[in-house]
Amino acid sequence: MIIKKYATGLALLTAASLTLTACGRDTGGDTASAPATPAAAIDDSPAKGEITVWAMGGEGDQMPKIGEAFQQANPEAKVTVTGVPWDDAPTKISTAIASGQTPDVTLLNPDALAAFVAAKGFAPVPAGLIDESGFDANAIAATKIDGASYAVPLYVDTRTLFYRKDLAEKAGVSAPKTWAELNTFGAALKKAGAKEGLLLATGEAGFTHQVLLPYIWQAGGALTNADQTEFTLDTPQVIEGLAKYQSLVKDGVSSQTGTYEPWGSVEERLARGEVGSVVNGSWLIGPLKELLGDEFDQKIGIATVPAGAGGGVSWLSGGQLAVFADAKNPDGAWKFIRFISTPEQAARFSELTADLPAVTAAWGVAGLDQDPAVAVFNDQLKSTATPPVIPTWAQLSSIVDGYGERLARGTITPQDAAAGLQKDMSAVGLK
Amino acid sequence: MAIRKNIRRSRWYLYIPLLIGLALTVLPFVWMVSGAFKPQREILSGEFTLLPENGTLRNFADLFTRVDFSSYFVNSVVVAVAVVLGNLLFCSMLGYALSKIEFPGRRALFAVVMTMLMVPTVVTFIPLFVLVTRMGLANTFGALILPFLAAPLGVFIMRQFIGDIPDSLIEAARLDGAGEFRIFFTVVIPLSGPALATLAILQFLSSWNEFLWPLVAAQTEDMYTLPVGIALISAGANTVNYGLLLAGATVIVLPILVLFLFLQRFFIQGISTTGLK
Repeated sequence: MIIKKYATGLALLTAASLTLTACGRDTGGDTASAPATPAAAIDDSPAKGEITVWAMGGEGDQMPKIGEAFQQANPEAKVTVTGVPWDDAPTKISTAIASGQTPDVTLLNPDALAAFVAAKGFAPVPAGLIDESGFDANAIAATKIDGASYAVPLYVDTRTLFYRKDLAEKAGVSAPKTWAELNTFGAALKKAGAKEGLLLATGEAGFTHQVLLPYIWQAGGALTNADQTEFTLDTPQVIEGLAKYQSLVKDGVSSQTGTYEPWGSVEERLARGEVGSVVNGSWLIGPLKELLGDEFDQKIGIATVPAGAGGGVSWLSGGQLAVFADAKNPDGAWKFIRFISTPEQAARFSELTADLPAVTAAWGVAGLDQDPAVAVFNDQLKSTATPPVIPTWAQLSSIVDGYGERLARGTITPQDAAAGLQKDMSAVGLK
Repeated sequence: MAIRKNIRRSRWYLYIPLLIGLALTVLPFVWMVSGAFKPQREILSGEFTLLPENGTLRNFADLFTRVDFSSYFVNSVVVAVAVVLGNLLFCSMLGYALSKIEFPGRRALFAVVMTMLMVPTVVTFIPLFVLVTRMGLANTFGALILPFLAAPLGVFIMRQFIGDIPDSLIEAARLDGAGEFRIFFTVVIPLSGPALATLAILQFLSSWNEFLWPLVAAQTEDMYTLPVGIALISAGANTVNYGLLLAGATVIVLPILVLFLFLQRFFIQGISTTGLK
């Protein structure tokens, strides 16, 4: 999901692997832009042989349980899951692609997909493998490159506003629904005792853009035009979004040097009341319940993010499963992915990992619609956006990170930042 | 003796910056060890405490029970020991040849070694992996060990050190009828103790702490080494188990400390004499 070191390592290694694969492998054709022809449909016969899967962190811990269920349904198949550390997964995947020595399936984040596809690392999803309408629409969009699909969404990760309900009550405010209410809400929490009204990521390489970009979307701005042929950052909407981000610091709601680091400390700081509110993902719920126990309901409020002129749009990321172009058992690999995408298995995986399933029907099966805290995320999923799925994203996102820091420090105006973003990001390009 | 007394009497104040330096170096280390005994909450509390308030052994219990710790440990030991032995043998051989045997292209060869010393490892990372894979070594101990058997830095250290051994010793052995191998093993190696100890520590350290290469070269969990294994279990997508991480780091450091205590005397001697002419 949100990984820090991610961006730099990814940019470096994919650049290297792109060069290498260009001369080292004979996959034919030399641009990724030519629409790939989807592979032949996968039949319904039982899967056979060994299927090797790379999965990260907690997902990697739990994936073998789905593998066991798969083996019961397909006695001649064997699923081997290798756990990979999240932070370093891009390195491992890009080196594997460069060498041609790959497993069959890997879990990955949507923002890394395009670079691996450009390196010809992944096979397109076979026609008719899954029913796309059964998935979160934006999560499906994040698997498409030039119209072809290269991955199947496994879980979604969106962010909502977590706030200290008790402090808000003390200050006599309720969860902000609009932009106008957000700054006063944050200021009120601060008055009620929080050090930070709203925790904002300002100078975090590899992460600030995940906090900053939603303000652009909420203002009605977009990073690119609909065809993804050029950037559209020098617009009044983008300027307004950047200005909103900056205003949170200017109004003293958020600190100039706010940070989500160290990872895992946000929930601690929220539970302690040091942080009054923060926009973050569903993984905060579990640790907060553990920290606060019975006080959780009384102290923590969760609400969809406040809406600007463009609506209450939040960041969408998540996990997807892709099959390597050099997979030894692609047939078995796709059958495993089809299996884990059934509502029953997707629901079970969600129960095991506390991830939010990308398969819409799995929410009911897993009973997620019963939990009021999780239900807010279901509402938020109706209004999300993802960054463009392009190979240069790692580089581009670090440009956004840089401007985020300058905005927070007040060393640049939103107008200049928008112009600078347009210029710098255009120089890197969309391909 | 007179000088030392002099220092003790009049330059005691020199110890103040030294003590500050020592504290700066040692404190993070102490914090790591103490953090290994703290629950997550205490680590993230934001207050700096040297001793854990609610000390716990849970991190270590988790480390040893929850994961395949022993297999990571064994892998790390096998790789580090093999790499150290390989370096002791090959680097000293190369060092001997480059400093004491006259042959055409000797200078050019040494220049190549020096160049390799200056190339950052990330540059050769992917080509090396492709090479290892094409040799059919992916996911084997061969992949983890072979590329590191003769480190350029080790060749450099050994060449400098062996260069200082008087030629007359070697010539005397040669006059007595000893061949190059005999000279190498009975004259050069016994005289190179400090440099070999330095080399052993440096190589053990780099092999033991290596993260990126084993992460990529080991493709299944049973081939992971300690640093990769600990990264795998302590860092989730959105949370980090800092207690487990610090406990793992503490366990990783122990063998290095033990090794250093054993070889300390030689190590300092080796560092200070190599390169002096």
